[in-house]
Amino acid sequence: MKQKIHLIGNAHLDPTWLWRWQEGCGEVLQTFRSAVDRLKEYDDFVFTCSSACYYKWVEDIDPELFEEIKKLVAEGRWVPVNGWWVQPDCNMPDAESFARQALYSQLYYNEKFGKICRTGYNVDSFGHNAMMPQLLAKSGMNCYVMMRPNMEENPEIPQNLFWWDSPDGSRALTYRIPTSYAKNGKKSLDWGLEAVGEAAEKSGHGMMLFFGVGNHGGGPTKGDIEYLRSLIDSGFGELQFSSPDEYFRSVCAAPLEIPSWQGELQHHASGCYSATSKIKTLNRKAENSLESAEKWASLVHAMNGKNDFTKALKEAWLKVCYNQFHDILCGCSIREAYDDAEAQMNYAVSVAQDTENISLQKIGAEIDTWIDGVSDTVFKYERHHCENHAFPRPVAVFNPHSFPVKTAVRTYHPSKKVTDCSGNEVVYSNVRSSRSNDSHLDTAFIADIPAMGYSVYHLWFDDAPVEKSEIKSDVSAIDDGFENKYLRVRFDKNTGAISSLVTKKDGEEHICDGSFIPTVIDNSKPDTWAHNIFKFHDVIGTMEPEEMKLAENNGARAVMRIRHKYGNSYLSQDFILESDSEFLRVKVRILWQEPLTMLKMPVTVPGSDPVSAYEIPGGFIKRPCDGDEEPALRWADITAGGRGVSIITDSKYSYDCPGNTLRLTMLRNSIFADHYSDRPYADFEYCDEGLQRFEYAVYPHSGEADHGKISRISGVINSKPVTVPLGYHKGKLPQKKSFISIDKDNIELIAFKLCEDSSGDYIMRIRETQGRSVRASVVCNLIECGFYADFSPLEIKTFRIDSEGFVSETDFLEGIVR
Amino acid sequence: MKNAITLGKHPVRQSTFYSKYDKNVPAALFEIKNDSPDLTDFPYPLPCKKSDYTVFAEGDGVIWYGAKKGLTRFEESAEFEYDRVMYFSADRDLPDNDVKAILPQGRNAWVLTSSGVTYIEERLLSPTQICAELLNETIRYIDRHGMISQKRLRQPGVLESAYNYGHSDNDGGFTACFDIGEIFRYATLKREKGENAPETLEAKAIAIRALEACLLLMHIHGRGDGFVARTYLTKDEPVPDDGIFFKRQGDYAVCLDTSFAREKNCVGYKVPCNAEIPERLRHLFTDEGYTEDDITYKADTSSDEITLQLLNLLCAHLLLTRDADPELDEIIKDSVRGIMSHIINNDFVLVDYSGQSTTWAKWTEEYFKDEMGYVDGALNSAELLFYLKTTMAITGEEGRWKETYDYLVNDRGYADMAQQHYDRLMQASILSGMDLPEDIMFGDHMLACASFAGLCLLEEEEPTLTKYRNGFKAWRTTLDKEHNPAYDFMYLLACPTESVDTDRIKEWFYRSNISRIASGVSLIGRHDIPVKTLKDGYKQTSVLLPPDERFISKYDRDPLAYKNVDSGGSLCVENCYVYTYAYWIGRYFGFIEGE
Repeated sequence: MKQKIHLIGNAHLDPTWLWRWQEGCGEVLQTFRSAVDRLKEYDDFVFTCSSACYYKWVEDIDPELFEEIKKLVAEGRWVPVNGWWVQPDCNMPDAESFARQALYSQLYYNEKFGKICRTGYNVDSFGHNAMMPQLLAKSGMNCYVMMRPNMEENPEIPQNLFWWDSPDGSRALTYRIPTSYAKNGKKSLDWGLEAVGEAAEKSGHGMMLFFGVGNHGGGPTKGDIEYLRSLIDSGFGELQFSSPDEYFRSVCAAPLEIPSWQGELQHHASGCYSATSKIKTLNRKAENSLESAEKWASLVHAMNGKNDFTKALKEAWLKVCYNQFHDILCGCSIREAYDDAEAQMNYAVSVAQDTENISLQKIGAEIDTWIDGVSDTVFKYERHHCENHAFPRPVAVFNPHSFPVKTAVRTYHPSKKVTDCSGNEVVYSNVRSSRSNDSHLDTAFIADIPAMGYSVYHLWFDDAPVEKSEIKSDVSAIDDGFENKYLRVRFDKNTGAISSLVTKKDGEEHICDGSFIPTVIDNSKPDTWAHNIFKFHDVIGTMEPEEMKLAENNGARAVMRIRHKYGNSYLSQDFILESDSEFLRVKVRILWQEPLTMLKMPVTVPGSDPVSAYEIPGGFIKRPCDGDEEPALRWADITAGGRGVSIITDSKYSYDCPGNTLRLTMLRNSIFADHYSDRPYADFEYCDEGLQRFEYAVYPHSGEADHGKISRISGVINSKPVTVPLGYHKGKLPQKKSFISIDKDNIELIAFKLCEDSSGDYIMRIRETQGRSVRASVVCNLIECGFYADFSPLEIKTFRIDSEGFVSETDFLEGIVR
Repeated sequence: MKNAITLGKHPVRQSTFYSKYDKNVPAALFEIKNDSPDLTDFPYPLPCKKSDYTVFAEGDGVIWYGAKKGLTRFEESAEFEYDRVMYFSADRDLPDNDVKAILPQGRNAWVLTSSGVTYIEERLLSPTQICAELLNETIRYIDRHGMISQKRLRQPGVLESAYNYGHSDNDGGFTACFDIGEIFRYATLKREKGENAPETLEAKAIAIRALEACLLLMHIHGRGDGFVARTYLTKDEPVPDDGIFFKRQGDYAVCLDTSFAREKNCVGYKVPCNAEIPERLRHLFTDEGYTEDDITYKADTSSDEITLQLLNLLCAHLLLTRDADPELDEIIKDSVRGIMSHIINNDFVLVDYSGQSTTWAKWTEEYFKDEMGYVDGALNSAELLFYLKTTMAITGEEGRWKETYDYLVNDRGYADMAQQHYDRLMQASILSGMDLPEDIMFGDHMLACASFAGLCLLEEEEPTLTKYRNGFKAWRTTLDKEHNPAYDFMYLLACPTESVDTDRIKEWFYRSNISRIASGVSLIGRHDIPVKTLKDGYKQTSVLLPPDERFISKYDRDPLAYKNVDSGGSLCVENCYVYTYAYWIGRYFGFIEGE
């Protein structure tokens, strides 16, 4: 029996790429008009198109066209797919971003078309993380269409239809397009039909052929539709105009024997996770800011029934969702596009900052900070000096994480003593500020903050009538380095690198020679995507040390400042060891001016049988230590022989791991949108040229990697506690409080928000981080809710809590639509 | 041993109900003025809304909180996290949920509700003791001609009101499961205490009676063709209107008039019944004064029955009869030969009165291709291979059995198909647009465990064994969520390098009920348990509750069920195999390292 070939008329639309988004919007309008015209002309033709963003543009700009589309959707002739805002990069957005892609888009589809998408569709995205089956399932989709990597790039992934499993047990029926998403013209169609026809007969199940002019839109042409109709009329094979939804229904209706696949779908363009650092930094910053801000805003709403920022946050999230489009986030669009992306991402960050500030100030105003004898509730400052010397300044420190955090925080004034809310002294330092006036000093102190809550600390000014603090710190300088109670760190003046990293509990050395020497790689051959290049190993030099000095050694922390140079570029790193900390923080400033280069920071661990692991959206994955460039979210880890080192960053997404060496890719300086060209002369601009600041952390661990713990450290590096100076006032809240508590170390709250349906219900999204099943309890007395939840390995669960504290388990769609 | 646990004595809850006027109820209960609790910053999830708690009282290390919707016990220093906060509700633990007063007595408490009084007692019992109590209840109230399934009650919660008749569709299967538990008890006690220890002999006698009852179903119909009846009734038991029944009358049995028989157009249909019933088995009804002509048996038997019966025969042969009861062992051999020949002779179906297959006992490739059988294919193909391996193991013969087995494995791809459970389930789910759990037949979980554990233990050829292990793993996505020790132990037997959650196993044994009265619990309105609504509106609890806080059921029901739609409410008592099967398998194979 001949297997059916489903002809999928579609238009692949890149709304930003080699053009700015305004042109992309125009291309959507023209393509949708054309598709409606074709559907009117040919009554058997079916059109498929993804991405809620495009529909929203059309609805806003051409409502008459949108009405026509709605009718065609109702007739089943226009088929929206992919319940996400765009076709995002599928390696770098975090789990909450994927949830928002689905939430806003599927609710939009449901509102406009009366149904949600059941098929995920990212035909151009450059790789797909291993959690995708779960992310799809919790978005309401259990089928998936993708194309990259293709068979040449990764022949191990089943071709063309397979079950794709993620660690929690979710599964997506997945179709890997064997030809292209944009076949058009007789010759191309003939070739495509031959290829999918052969595949259909060989596999024993139907296949899809995608046709229509794509990338810059266009869609199926009259010529193509008529040619395909002529083939159907002539009895050429089992052809029919169809949609992905119909295809999956059709293959499931017959016996189906197909392989299954566990893990990720990689690699297509390995350079995409390091190109154009600016957009990646903005993405991480926007995600972190929005996630924290929304938690605080929702807590304030829970306290007083007001403070609903849902609409503003949705608009902000949609900007982030848009800029996660694969050609934007992957750093391979034109330079001008990044001006737009920067504006939009900064808009999102700004909304988040406004929301968070209002919320934290409101909570702060409710905290009882009154001290009897204080004559004035208002501080009087004059250039960082306070007139109220007899009393300490109260400062609230807020922790946005669902686990307790102990870390150094900073305020913009020097202090003589710092006490917690019980009057106990805490470790602090007066550290050099970023300003260069007055005392030049800020206060850094070690704050211990309960889960999803705050602690108030009291800072005595340097001229206050109190004894200077004599509390001892565990941080101290040693020869060429420093130590605290957990770590001993030494640096090599000749290389400017960490030469020894010892965990004191067991005396184990965690690194080998050559670690932390900034290494420059030749990047002249790869294009911006690095098509067909998966390893970046052509070392052309290392950065030379210029200066190394112990910049601080004073209570809360010790800082070793090291400056390297290479050509016209420099790298300045502050290696910071805090009191009572198990990891080292590194504040980085780079001015890079070396065209077509790449900068990597290696760490080599001793021991045999190295295993590398990387955070991916909502989970982690272990990968071979084969030197391929790999995407990761906040952290990567190398463990060998029962000990290892994790590298955690606040903005980077790319690593490689040749053998025992894990290398953080700090930047990759390609020409913007450089694609298979011979680079005719121009005054090129480079995508990682200029100044950038970021932070990374080094966490050495004995024993196997505890991925849950690495995730928690990553949380602290990425979403730092926030300090809010308070006045003296009475209030109903105590000086230390946790609003939400979760009793298991491997369970984290990733979202706390108001439900999108304006019901006033709350949404909690919680995930398992260690890869093991667990039952956890969650308590939030503020909304009278306390419940138990079972988690499968790396499972993400969403709970909806009503006004009486009753809880239902939903998914990313919040129970508004199933 | 990997995955092994040690179980000790653990408090088990027991409620005794009293009328308000019962003289045994202390007067202080009616006089006590309990304060209202302040639970504002209570650090754990609570089963009721905080505002619903109206009274509280402190006992010895425990605090009792009474609400309008049930009773909560809090023990902050409890050794296990799952014992910290417990919930007691109507009608298993309380007459109703409106708690008015609490009078603690040590770690126990008298509880006054709107309609009555309960004394809630904490009994320190080991799992072996729980097994003994459950077994006692089962033997005393459920046994029906040796069959151990369930009994209906006239009065809610009152065991003495049990009807002395009443059957289940799966009497054979449930009795087989009960028997397997007792066989493993016998084998464990024999190893630990000796063959002639009184406990060993008692276990042996119980196991043999249940085994005889199972075997009798393979002969009670008198067809002599390897058919297996679902169950049987005597002339003193009413025939319910829920299936196909044949009344024995001399050399023929006649199909009785039931709705289903009319639907199948077989009322009055006659089948021969002249094959003799082995004397060793006849006594189960002759001892009660009945003859063959007093027997009505139930037909239209499903593959479920065959699978569980054969697992039982395999266990019985290996652990009970081979050495200790040669007469019964021969009957086992004959019976299994009969069943297997029947299935092979009839091209892999169980043939009933009409020469056609029964509704649900089909293992043919044709069935696996049709809409209904496609999803069943993975399980049923494994079942058939398991039957053949079992037949070879019991009879010691190869010949026709091995020929058929090899044909199915090598030529017909049955071992490959056995790996496809999750694939086919997902396929059905996508096609129907339903959520996965809506397509799950929970009873299939036990059948899959039986078939794959059996196959993995009996198959020696590595490539085929790998397929069976993969087949078993294909069930784990849904099996995992049950945390049923019986399933977990069978999985570990089949796949010894895998792991299971041993903490959840301990919780299961410690937090099970000491009675199988199928009384209800109040889940609707529980404040600490998220509810999950699936696409077609079916509701589940999002978290697996300990057994003493969820509905009583056999292994064939959704343990996450939010509403008690399947069990017999409080007018039923179930048999004890749910606990004893898991426990004695665990003990025998060393997953439970003694007490």
